[in-house]
Amino acid sequence: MIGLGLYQTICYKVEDVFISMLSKKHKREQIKGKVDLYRAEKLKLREMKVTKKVKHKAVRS
Amino acid sequence: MKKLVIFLAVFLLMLPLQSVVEGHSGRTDSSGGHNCSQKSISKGLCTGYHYHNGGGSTSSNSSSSSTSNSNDKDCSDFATYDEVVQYWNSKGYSATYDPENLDGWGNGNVDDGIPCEAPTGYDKTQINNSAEQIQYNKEQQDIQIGNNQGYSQGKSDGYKEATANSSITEGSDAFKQGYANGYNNGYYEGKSKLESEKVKATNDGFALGQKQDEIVIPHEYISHESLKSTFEEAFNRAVTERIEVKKKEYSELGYKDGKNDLYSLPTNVDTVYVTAYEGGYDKGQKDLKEMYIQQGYEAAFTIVEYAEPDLDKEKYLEWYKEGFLSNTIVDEIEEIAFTQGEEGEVMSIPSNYEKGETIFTYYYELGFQDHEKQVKQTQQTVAGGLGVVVLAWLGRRFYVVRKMIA
Repeated sequence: MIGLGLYQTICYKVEDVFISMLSKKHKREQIKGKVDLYRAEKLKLREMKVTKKVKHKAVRS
Repeated sequence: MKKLVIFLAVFLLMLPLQSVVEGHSGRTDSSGGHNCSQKSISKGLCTGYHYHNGGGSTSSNSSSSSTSNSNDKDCSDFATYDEVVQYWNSKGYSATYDPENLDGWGNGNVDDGIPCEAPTGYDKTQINNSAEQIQYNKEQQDIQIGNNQGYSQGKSDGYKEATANSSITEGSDAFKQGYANGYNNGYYEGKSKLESEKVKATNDGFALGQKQDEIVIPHEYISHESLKSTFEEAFNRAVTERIEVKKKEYSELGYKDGKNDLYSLPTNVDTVYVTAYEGGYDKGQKDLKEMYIQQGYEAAFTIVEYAEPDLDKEKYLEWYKEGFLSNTIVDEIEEIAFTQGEEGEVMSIPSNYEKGETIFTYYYELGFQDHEKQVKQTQQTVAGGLGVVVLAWLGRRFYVVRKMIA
């Protein structure tokens, strides 16, 4: 989990660099809102997948 | 004093008469004989009743000379029988001449020629003119004659190398015995003589064979087959040895020429010597070729690429190249060295390949260069792959950002 967290952090950092490069003409708060929303959705989707997997394992056992 | 002289004279006159009656131990009876006394028996001079001095004869003439001689000996006068024989022999008595009648009875009559009575087992051949002595002498004579004849025949047979045969059918036993002894001695002598003559024949034959090729057998050996063959053998041996020595000389000359590669066949010599020269020459050529082959073989350990050496003749170059190419050890060295280098190991020449150090080092370096190339290529591949991954990842991140801010 630590590795995954580190990888996510690196990915976020690199993405942040690209964001800053591509959104110079846009409002910072607006862009930040979009990014946070996107990342929150992705996180939620991942958690749902994990929960689903755990349930499958419990039913099999 | 006068009485004494008369007494002595009478006494002296009486003495001879007493000798007639008592010339021996024990008195004789009226027949002139008596029983043997214990003393004489113990000395072995007589046994039982016997006669003396013609006793037993009624003739008034008997033993007249002996009985009248006071010096006559009687058997009992001797201490041993050897003395009897010694006396008998010294007097020259015999069966027909026995004036003292020591031999049996009778007044000089013939008896057995044995004085008194010889002890049992006594060697009567010592008694002169005894039958035993006569027989003994005859046998000795026969032995001598047989010995002489046997020796002559044996010597002849031995010299001729005939089968020894020492027996003879004719003649007395003594003659046969002498013949056998003489034959054996003669046979040995004959053989010895022949052996010494064989030695001489060998020396003569060998000496002649050393000088010439044509045999000339001396007259003294022609008549004896064995001597003749001995002479011939020695002669042939010498000739053979002489030829062999000469053949060896030509063979050595040929070998020397063969090694120097200068063919110079001798002229005006027998075929055997020409053959010997050619044999030696071929051997020399063979050794010369072997030498160049060996040079080429050794060169292969130090030369990576074949290079023609500076040699006089084309065939030397061929031999050299043949030796160079025949070195298969070099192939092994190449393979091992290259593999060692290719695998990136530290160079280590096996002890049995130390001779080919140059080759080994060269091929090791070739292999090591390959190894380095491979390593570099692998590194480049890894680096390239990593770059692609990073680019893909960055692309993904860029795509995500575009999606987020869209």
